[in-house]
Amino acid sequence: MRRYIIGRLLFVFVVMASALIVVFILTHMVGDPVDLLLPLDAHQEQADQMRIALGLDRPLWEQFKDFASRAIRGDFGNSLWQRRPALRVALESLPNTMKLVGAAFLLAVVMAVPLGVLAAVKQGSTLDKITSLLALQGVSTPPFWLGLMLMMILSAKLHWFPTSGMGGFQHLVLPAVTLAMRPMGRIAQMVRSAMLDQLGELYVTTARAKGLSETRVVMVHALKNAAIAIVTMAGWELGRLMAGYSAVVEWVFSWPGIGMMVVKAIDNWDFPLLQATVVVTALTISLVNLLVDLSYSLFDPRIRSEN
Amino acid sequence: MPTEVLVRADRLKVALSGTRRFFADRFTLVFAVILLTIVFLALFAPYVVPHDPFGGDLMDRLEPPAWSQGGSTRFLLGTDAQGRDLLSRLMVGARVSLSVGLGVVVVAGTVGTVLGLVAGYFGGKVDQIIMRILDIQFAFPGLLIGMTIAGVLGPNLRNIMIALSVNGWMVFARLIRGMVMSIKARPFVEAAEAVGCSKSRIIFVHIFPHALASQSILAVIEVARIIMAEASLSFLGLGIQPPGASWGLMLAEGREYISTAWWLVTFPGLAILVTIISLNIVANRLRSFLDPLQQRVVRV
Repeated sequence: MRRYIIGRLLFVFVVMASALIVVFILTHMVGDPVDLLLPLDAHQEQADQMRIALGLDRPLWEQFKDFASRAIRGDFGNSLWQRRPALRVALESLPNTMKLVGAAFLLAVVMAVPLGVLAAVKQGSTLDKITSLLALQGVSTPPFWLGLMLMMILSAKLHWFPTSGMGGFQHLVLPAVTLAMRPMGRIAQMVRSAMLDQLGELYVTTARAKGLSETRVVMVHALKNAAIAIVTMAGWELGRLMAGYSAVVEWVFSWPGIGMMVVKAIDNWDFPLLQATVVVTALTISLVNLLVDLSYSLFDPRIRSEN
Repeated sequence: MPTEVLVRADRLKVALSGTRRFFADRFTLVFAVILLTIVFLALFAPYVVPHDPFGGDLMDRLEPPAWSQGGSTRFLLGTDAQGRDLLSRLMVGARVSLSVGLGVVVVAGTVGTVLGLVAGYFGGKVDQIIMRILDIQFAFPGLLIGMTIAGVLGPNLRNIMIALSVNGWMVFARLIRGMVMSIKARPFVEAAEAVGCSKSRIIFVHIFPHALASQSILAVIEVARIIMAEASLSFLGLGIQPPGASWGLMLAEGREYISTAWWLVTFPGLAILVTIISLNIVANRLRSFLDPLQQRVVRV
């Protein structure tokens, strides 16, 4: 168990190191940031001075070392757009994304698990077909379009919800529903197929033969064994929501989350902010994945006892 | 009749009956026809567009669709704020979506397939290195990196393809690696090794054909995923730029008129939805057709 945890932690470390490298390369691919920072009529000497001041005349490797050592200490420099520490801007928007993603994910799981279980128990029923349809629409509907449609009908026409921005519960409903559709479909389908696999196993027959109630067989015996597959899938979907899927939905509803900050940073050529937001997102996803990996031991005693 | 001709005739017969069985499922047939129509419109867009997709007359601005009140049959799906015909722009948009989808899948699919074949066949260190890179990249915020690449390189068609290809090879590599590992244990590979076939011959001539079916299915699903990703990038302003036409960009442009011109935000999204659903349904049918044992619904 300890080796497993150490292995996973090491992996998080490697991912974060790679994230720093990728972010550094990406933001140095554009050519000379000095051209962007200086006014158009600046002299050559001014440009040279600035280049030296920013350390851009040094070898790339040294620049990276400098960048990485500052990044590890949480210093990405000031956001060019907001004129305050980039990391602070990124961290301020992270809770907003977590709130949105959390609500969407909760909604997805609460809807998907019962639906998937029922679909598996009543294979071929109307409910089963609805589950398949839900899965298909979940992966096929562009979330930004769904968001616009909901906004057009429920906000602009019927005035049930505010069109955009962040505020009370009312503001959360449309973006969360929009974001929940995809994971809901995917998880429901996963629950269904994992449950079908389990319900065909011999231990289920044994449990039934012992005279256990069907509810107990399904909800306790089968569901617990299906849990690993379900948690893997749900964790993957949660990671994907954080990894950019929320960005488009945040953009539609002007939700001030970290995804929207990334888009704004790109629009404003704000590289410190871009670096900070991408690194913070990568870290968040790594931690989500880590939690998912560690949660396996809750469901699978083999991982717990492994040395 | 010479045997060669006979064999050819038999093959044709098999192919024909296979095609017939594939489309015996009405549901699939409907979506396959829709998909073919979209492909046709995309291919021949410059010849079939009813109006100029890039220039409009401001006198015609915000005309509703033909069946709405105030609409005319001149503009079947209405016009946008610059008086451009929505239907024509949707056709040109289909061209962008499909070329990005296909282009990225060809590039990422080839790279991923070759890396997966190599990793699976040689195993050991090579395999470990490739799989570690793959794991790390899977743990990355893919869409965000794509956004960053497109934004930094400058938003245009070529750079979107680069941005999406960088992130698209892993699924191909992972799938084929697993297959190669089980295929290479089979006797015919051992036989090929015994008669002294070169490694590249074994990989590409003996092993690869067995994995071709599942790689093709994955390719269809990936085209769908890439189309969605392109639309997302263009919607965020990091893809196709005005006055170009892309379904995602059209949605972004229509957003301002959400309370006055419903058609501008409705049809481009429907186009994406229908294309992706059709691709998924065809892929799904392809899967159960090529491998009747594995009748699971599509994983995207």
